[in-house]
Amino acid sequence: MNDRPPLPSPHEVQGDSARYGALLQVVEAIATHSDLSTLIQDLARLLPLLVPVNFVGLSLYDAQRGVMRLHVLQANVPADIIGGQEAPLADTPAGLVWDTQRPLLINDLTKESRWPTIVGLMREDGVQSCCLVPLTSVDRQLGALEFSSLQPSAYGEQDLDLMQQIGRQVAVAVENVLNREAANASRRDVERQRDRFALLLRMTNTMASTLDLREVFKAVSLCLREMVPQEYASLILYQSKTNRVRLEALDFPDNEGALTEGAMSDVAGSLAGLAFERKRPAVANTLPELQSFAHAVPQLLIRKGFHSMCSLPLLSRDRVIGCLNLASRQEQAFGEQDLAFLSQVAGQIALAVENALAYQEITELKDRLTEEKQYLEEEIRLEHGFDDIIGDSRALKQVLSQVEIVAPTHATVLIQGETGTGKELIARAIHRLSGRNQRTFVKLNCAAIPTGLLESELFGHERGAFTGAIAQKVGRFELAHGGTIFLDEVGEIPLELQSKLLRVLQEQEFERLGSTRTVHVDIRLIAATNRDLAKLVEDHEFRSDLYYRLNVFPVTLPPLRERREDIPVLVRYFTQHYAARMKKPIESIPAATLEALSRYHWPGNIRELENLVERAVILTQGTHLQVPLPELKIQAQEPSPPATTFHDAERDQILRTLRDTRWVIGGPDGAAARLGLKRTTLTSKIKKLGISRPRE
Amino acid sequence: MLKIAVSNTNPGTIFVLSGRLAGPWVDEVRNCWLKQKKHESAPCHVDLREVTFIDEAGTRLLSQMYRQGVTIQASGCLTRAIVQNLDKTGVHKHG
Repeated sequence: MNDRPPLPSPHEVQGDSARYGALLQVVEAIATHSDLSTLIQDLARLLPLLVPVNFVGLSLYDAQRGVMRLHVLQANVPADIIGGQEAPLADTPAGLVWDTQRPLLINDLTKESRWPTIVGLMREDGVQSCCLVPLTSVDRQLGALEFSSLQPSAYGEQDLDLMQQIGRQVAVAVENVLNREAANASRRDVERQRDRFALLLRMTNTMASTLDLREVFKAVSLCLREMVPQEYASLILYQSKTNRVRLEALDFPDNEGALTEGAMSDVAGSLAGLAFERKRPAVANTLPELQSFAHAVPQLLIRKGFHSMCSLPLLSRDRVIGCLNLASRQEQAFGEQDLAFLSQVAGQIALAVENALAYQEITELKDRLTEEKQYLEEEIRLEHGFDDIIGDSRALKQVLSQVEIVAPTHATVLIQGETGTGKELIARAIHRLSGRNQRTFVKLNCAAIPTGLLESELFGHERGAFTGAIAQKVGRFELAHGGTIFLDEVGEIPLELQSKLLRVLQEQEFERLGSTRTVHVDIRLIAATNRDLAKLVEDHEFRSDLYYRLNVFPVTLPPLRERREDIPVLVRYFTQHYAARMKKPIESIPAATLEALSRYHWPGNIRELENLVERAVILTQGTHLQVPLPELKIQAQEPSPPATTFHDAERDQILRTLRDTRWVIGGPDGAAARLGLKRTTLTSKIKKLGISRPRE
Repeated sequence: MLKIAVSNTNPGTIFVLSGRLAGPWVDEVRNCWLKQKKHESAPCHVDLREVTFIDEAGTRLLSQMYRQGVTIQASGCLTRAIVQNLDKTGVHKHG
């Protein structure tokens, strides 16, 4: 303002041209000011050039509250300026002008009896006369502009026109200012909303990226400080078992050990209690309000100088699962907008808490299932001795060598052998030595399942797939995903299922019964049978393509009679096993018993041997195993079945002769003489054929 | 699994094994024994009465221990048969 030309004195202003000049300056001031206060200051400075003015006042109507508010009052004489007064419309002359939209001229205030309070104040400032004109824009009635003078009858009718013109200009300026203020307020509001949404997004992202409740709360607390003034934040979660709350996380720099994370407490008498009860935010924005809560936490906060607190319920499916609590040392810290925003934050936290709790539960269940699985696997191993492959015979070692070769691969294995030769033991050994050993080994005996249920057992079914399918069932192939499936007695699978089995083997996919959704699996198949699959193929009882798919790596287990040298160690093993289980002090097995057992044909193979030993342990009184040998005698007389190869025939003949000579090789009645061989030749053959004398 | 309980007596160390002396536990027993051997020259004794199974590697370890002067106590017909075949001499027979 200082760079403007000096103003002419009232005496210098003469005639209409001077008044118009002054009026132009007033208009310019109106046009250039964006702030009501400075506008009125300038008007108070300029208007005396046009009219005799000592005070200029601007009153605006507050529609929300229904009052007239004196926004600005400026004087060009010494006076006690009182701004910001509010009064009902009827109590102010400005109210009358606003209401009637007509100017008001009071020439002698001493005679004015209306509006005693306002008029009294004006008199105190020495005002003798005044003139008020309406401030009205095209769109709305804004208020009134007041000109006051220390002179009585300072304004004539001729001034009214000028003042009304000024009033209309000021109205435009006031409306501009008000619009600008409204626009600024809207902009600030939008910016605040934007910042809050950005914050909310940041918090949501943080919450979505972690399942640790403490981490979630830490992130939330940090973000909240940017937006809401608070020096205390806590997260409490409701524990249904105890009907109390647990302090899950705390952000309270001035805590000094007063509150401890993990502590349990009641919520009665606290803001959180109120929020729990009402399922909506509870707030105490003043010290007296806060003091009305008798709970230990609000009382502690009061002692620490806090004045405001709010508690926001964490709602999940209309159930309060906890509360977010915030407190501030400021009064009125949590306004309506803050609470609306914090409620959104609480909603996000509720989701994060639900997710974290669900994840926690899943993890616990998963761990428990893993432990149970390990326990059951261990029990199965111990119960059936699946880890123990007993024997030192050449035939067994040959099989074990094949197992070691095939185990690390993903190849399908077909285990063939007579019943009771230990096919499952070998299948489990292959799984244990493979890269799938941390996953499940699933076994299914195809002969033990009714044909009608076999498909459902293998592939599973959906609820309602057939009458009686009252629940969904996961099939063995799905259970074995990532692991190994062992199909015992695979030759018993009916033809109509064989094509589906072939598809699983080739494509690693199938559909559950009653479902069209294809399930993809990663499984390794080990099949076993004691039937001649090639013969079944010839008889059209087994699909040839499935047979070739299964027969990738065949392993044939020798019957026990072809590994007789393992019989003594197997007998000892089973004896020790059952003796320990039955708490019998059996310490030895008579040599004659071992000899007899070694001679027996064992059509039921190891299973038969095990059952016999178990029975023997039950019958034994004392420390020597008593085997019911007469049961075996009839069988023992039976000749061995014809050997299939020259190698086997030679081996059988040598073994029989050695048994007959009680393992005497040399001498006139020795095995070498009986076989017509040199002693050294026989010794060499015994070594080559892997024949060893049974121990004990 | 196998539990190895080591107790130091005067004179010597006793290893009481419970469970299966097989697979990875054979190396555990070997390490325990070698550590004991490194720190003291007192006699060592292995108690196999609670052992339920011994595999080939376990048998080889016992044989090695036996040859180096470790006395072995066994019970149960399989364990006893294994121990007896390590060598007839020096085996402490139980029961």
